[in-house]
Amino acid sequence: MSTTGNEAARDTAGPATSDRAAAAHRRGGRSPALRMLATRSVGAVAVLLAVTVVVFLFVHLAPGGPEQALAGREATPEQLAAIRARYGLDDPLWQQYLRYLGALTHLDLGTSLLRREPVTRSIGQAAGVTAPLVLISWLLAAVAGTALGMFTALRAGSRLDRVVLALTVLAASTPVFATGLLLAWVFGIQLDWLPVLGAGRDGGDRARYLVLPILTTTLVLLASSTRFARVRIGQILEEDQVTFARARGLSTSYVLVRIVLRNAAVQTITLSGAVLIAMLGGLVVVEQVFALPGLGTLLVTAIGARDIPVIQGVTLVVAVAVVVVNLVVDLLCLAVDPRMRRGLEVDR
Amino acid sequence: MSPAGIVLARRPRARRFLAGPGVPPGVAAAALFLGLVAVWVVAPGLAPHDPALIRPGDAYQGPSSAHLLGTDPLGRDVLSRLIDGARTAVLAPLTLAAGTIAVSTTLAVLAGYLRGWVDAVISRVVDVLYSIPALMVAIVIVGVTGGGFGLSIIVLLVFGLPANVRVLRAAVMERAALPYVEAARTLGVSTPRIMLTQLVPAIGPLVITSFFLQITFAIVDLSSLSFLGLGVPPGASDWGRMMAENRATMSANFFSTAAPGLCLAAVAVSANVLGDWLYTRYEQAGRSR
Amino acid sequence: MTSRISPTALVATGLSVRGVRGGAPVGLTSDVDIEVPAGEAVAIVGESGSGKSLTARALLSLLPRGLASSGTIRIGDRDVSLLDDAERRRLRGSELAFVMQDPFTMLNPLERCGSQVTAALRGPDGRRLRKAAARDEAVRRLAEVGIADPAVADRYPFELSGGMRQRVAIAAAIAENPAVLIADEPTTALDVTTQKEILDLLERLSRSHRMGLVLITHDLRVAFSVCTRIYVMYAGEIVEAGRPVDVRNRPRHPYTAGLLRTEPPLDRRVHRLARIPGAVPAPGARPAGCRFAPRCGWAEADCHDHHPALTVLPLDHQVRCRRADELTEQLRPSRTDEPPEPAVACAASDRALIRTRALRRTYGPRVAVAGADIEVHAGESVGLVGESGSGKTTLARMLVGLTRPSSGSVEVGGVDLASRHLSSADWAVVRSTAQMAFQDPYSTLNPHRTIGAALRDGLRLVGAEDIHRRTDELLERVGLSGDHARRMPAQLSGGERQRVAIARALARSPRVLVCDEIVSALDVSVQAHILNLLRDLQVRLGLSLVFITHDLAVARQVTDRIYVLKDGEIVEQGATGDVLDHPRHPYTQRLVASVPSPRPDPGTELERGKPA
Repeated sequence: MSTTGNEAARDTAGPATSDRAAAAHRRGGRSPALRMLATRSVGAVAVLLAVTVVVFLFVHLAPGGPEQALAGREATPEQLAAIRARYGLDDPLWQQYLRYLGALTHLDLGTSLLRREPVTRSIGQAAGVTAPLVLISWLLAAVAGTALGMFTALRAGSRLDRVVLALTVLAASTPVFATGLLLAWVFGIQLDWLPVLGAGRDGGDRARYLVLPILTTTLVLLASSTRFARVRIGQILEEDQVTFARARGLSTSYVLVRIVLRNAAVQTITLSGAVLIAMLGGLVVVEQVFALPGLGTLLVTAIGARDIPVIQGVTLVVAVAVVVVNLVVDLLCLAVDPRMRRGLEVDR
Repeated sequence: MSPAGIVLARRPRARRFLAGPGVPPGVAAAALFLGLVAVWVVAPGLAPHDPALIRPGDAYQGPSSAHLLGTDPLGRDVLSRLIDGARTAVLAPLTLAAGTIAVSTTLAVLAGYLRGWVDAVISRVVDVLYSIPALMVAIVIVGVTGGGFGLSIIVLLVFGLPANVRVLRAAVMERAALPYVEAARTLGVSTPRIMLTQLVPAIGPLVITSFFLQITFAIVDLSSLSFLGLGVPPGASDWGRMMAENRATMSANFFSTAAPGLCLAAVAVSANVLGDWLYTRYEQAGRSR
Repeated sequence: MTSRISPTALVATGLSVRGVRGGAPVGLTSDVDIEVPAGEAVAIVGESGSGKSLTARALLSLLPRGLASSGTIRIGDRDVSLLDDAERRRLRGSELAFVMQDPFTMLNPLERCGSQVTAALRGPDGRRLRKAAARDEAVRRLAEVGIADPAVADRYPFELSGGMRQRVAIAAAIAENPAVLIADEPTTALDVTTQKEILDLLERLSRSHRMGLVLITHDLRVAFSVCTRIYVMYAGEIVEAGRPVDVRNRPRHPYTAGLLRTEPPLDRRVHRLARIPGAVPAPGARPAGCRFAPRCGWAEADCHDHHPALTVLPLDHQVRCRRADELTEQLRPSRTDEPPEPAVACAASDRALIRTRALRRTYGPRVAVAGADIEVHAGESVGLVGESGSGKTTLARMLVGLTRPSSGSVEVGGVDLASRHLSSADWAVVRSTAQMAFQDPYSTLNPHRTIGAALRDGLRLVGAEDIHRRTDELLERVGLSGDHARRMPAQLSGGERQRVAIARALARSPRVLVCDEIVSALDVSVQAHILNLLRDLQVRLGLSLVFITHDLAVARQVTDRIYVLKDGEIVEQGATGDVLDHPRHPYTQRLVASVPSPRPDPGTELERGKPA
């Protein structure tokens, strides 16, 4: 008997749910889903604007004043005066901010002090290394993690299950640079199968250089994706709907695809998004370990050299990436779960 | 906060089966963890050499009877540095974890039970901070300001709060709706008393497991920062720093890099397993038939 | 389809389920023999721990991991217990169907209803049905289970009510026209009016499809109303089996007689509810002799020593009791057992302890309670009766201050809880006038605190000196011993926990105890203990009760007056006996008529529950 029988829950789950759905329907115009998306988009734009304000202030908060930050440490007084005039640093703050915003819309992020080239170009080049690293690792970890999680959930309690769980603990607890160095040592130095430092030239050569970094990142991401999949799928397999499906003689593939994967989808998507964002810090470390000229290294070098425009630019790019990832996650969740489309509360 | 941090409260049921023959992993982990803490306390006495002593002539040596784990590029004894580094390797993460848990538990209980504007404010702030990658922010802030350990800990704490608060708040809300809390309200028990005597014990297992999990992430994040050269002064015998400095000697002396790495992993793993084990124990004790 | 021709849909012989508890192998159920005629319904009745659900799972070979079953199972003419796993799987859905208890978790929330109903169907070519064909089939099947609106096929389960979801599940389960449908407590999670509809549906389908129906239930009344044969299980074995008329009027086993007696009657109030002392033995701790002997009022020395076999009596009646022949007359249920208890008369001039006027509570557009006028006087017991969504729980919560009213007034001990500002002195008055005990015994106590700690919360607030002695007193007052104070809730049974919950509410010596469905989650025999306890407390302490329930028979036993609620409104009120015997409002009449009544037996006097 349902002992968590909360009368109130029973009260509302039945006709009232369809009532609530109908009410939401009427309230939200055609679709509560669109309303939700609209709210999220507005929120995202607000967040981005806030980030631009903070980033803009980087320049003004740096020690030595903004003209020093823009000109570098060895600037002469004449150069400082020139900078002040050119960038209109005597104007009120809000005017400067608006000019900054204007420049952003033209995708003008300033000039790098270190390399003396437009920040946009540095970022573009660096992204060519970081983007494949992130996307491929993330995709591999998501797919492999779900598969491995499902595999072990179906064999819950077996030796394999315990071994895999232990391995996820190990992978999650080991700092990413330790994993990276270990892999570099084994495959790069001892076995000499793969190159360890740098990014190589484009195309196939680059692919060789990215293998170890991708492997490292994937392993760390796998820890959480496998563990999560194992737990969530384990939960779903215990649910009544699975027993009912099996009692009707439905095949294992039906159960796994139509029931398990679908019901795990929302939380898996949400988790992957969160994992990806949290991994950004780790990416910086991975690039350092393998000496990859990606966004992470760009950022670290810029920090060391007080290259403020680059720091601003990279921070903005990261913020945009975070916002985009969140929006994509929301979109995917809406697409997958009809309850969310009706505006009802769903466990994310 | 590393990715695994997001899987905070998810405990697979198979954990029960992990207690196989022999010593349960939880006990083993506890032993390991406590052993390392002990080393930290006794550290100065144990090290065979002065960890800071630079002898360029002895650089790049492999393991020998004089230097059990060899020497690093500056001729310092690796083993001594390893033992000396135990202090920061354990103290800083413990501080960070304790701080994160204390603050997030308080916020979660307040938000989850009081609801209303308190919850609105806390949740709004948490939502905003949630998506900001903690480690990345720490890298930028500590790097730009040249701050030390203290700043690293503060930044990681602030940005590590959201995930914890979210999970704990959800747990508090779930339990606040249960009859035993409502019974306490009906009896007229005061709100602070309810929060302390009903809710905190109710989320106790979760808090403990979070604490140990936070230690794991603290170790990972702090050592990542020091690997990048941030937050620690150059001469410090910090394990992360050691790995960064010694990687050049990997071919000559693998142990100079491997040893601190192993130690880091060992502390982190043992904290994780210990947290898991304690949670399972508590959860089963509280579970009704 | 050969199974359809034979008169017996399913025969199970010697079905036993074994498992492992605490490392050692243990028998969970033993020697269960069941026979299901095609087109008829049989019931397996038992309380928790009887093994009835395990038997159902064993029939389907869907036992949880670690359990194994033995024995033979024949479907039609085939012996299916010899088949391997793959072939057993093919039987599921096509020959054997299964419907579970909770319609809210049985269906996939992310798949449309129509598609779930036709998921197992295959076209004549053996392949899946194409979309249009599948939808047509789905609409047809849904109509069979009483859902006339074809749009339901395109809806998701969360858009439907509990009763409709159960119908969809039934349609999905019988999609392949199986020979046998096993329903495990299919109506327990539903309202009593919906329950009747679903039971009628199952009966109808069983006849029209010539499908055998196995109904697993704890509710004897449900079993009597639908089935042609009853199997009573206790501690893993069948203790009695027979026709409903025989089991009901001439029970041959002391347990069955006990169950019948503890079932609260709907048509009269008894002075004291009969109970079965003791508790069901756990699988590893079953006695060597008769498993019921330790709790049996007629047990002799031989009963404890020898395990009785199932003996066959005339008229296809079976019983597992050594003394069955001797006890025939003593076990007969007697209607003249006790004189009916006169209702407590209370003078209208008594000041009402609780009085509400036009009490209203809304949640946005939804009205939970729409203008209720209720009174509770000293010494009386008032019932709030209704189905889910009726607002009875919301109303009760407003009486103790857990929920604020949207409008209207609710005076408790003279203090109006709807007023804008209430001082702590006001609250003190309210708290010492009305307290509440909750429904779910498993979450009513904090699992991380001792029993004593829970009780001291309240005692401390009334400034009790010698608090530990007072704690022991409270425990004794509800029939528990003082050393329960040191235990944790996990060590107590469901009934004991509810007692503690009552004790906790009594810590502040309230005048009124509000009981929110406190026996709904308990077995019938345990329920009787608690109801008797409440009766005692009323007499000894002069306690008034506000008793919330959906079970009319329980309301009859406990309350002097009842209010009947529907959709937030009080539709009828009055003395309990009066309202239940002569309901005036159509809804009340429907409620009373929905209580399962025994089927008419062919050739004998018609017996009905209550006239509508």
